[in-house]
Amino acid sequence: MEEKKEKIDPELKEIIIYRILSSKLPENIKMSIGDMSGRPMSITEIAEHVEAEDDIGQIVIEMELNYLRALKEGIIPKIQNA
Amino acid sequence: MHKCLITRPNHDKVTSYLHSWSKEIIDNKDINEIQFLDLEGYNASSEKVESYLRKQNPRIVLFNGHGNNFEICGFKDETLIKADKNEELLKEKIVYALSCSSAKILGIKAVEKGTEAFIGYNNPFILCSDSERETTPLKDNIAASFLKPSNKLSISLLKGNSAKEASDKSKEEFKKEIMKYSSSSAFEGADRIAAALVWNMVNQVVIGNQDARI
Repeated sequence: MEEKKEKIDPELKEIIIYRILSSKLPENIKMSIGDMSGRPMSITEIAEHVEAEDDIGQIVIEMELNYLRALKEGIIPKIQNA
Repeated sequence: MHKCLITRPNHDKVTSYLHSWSKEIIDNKDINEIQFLDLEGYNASSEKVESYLRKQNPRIVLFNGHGNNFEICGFKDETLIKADKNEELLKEKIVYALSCSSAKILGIKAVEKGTEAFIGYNNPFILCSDSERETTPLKDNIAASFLKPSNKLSISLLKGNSAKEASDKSKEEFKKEIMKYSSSSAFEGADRIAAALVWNMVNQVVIGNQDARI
């Protein structure tokens, strides 16, 4: 039973892709989202999934928006100052 | 002496990491009075899990492996527990599933069918790792930041903490790691790792009796 996917705002998508690609995460650091990708993904592959808005891309978008919310709500500074 | 059933499949990169890191739980010197029933590798099968749950009646069940909203998987992604199929096997148990999204529906249904507490994740668990350390997962400091907070939860449960206390301790560990990667002194791009850690932390939930303990 697949959940209905919401279309992401194109500008928001651009911002997320920019954040991912400009972050300069070292090439040796990979990301796995359960078994969705079959193997750990590079930062470039992650950005490609976001561009395609496929299942992996949707999770990455949610993760990034969640992080931006945490920053906006001051959760990260709170953690840093705890 | 309480019994703890633990599943540790190791058929791909992610499960190999979980397999290696979950051994740290079994080997933890501070855990006493626990008999581990370790279903490792191909032994993490539905036949063995069902048999152990029925005959050995473990108080705590720790699942490591892939999953989704409806199921928890074992070796080669064989379904071990599935919503509306066999979740009653977890009746009266405290369960921690390090398994993508399984809290979302399966966890709720398991508690409805009598699981005392189900701790898991409402969305996929994200694991960052260092490709230069793939053959030695325990030396992978990036993966450690993801799997130590998870191990903290299991170890806390096994040391007698309640489900809520164990989850809180795990989240404190996540926060320490988030702080490491979101600080200005972190390496370039580290906030991508922080984002994944925040994701795992906020998606970890306790369903059922928050005070459940061994």
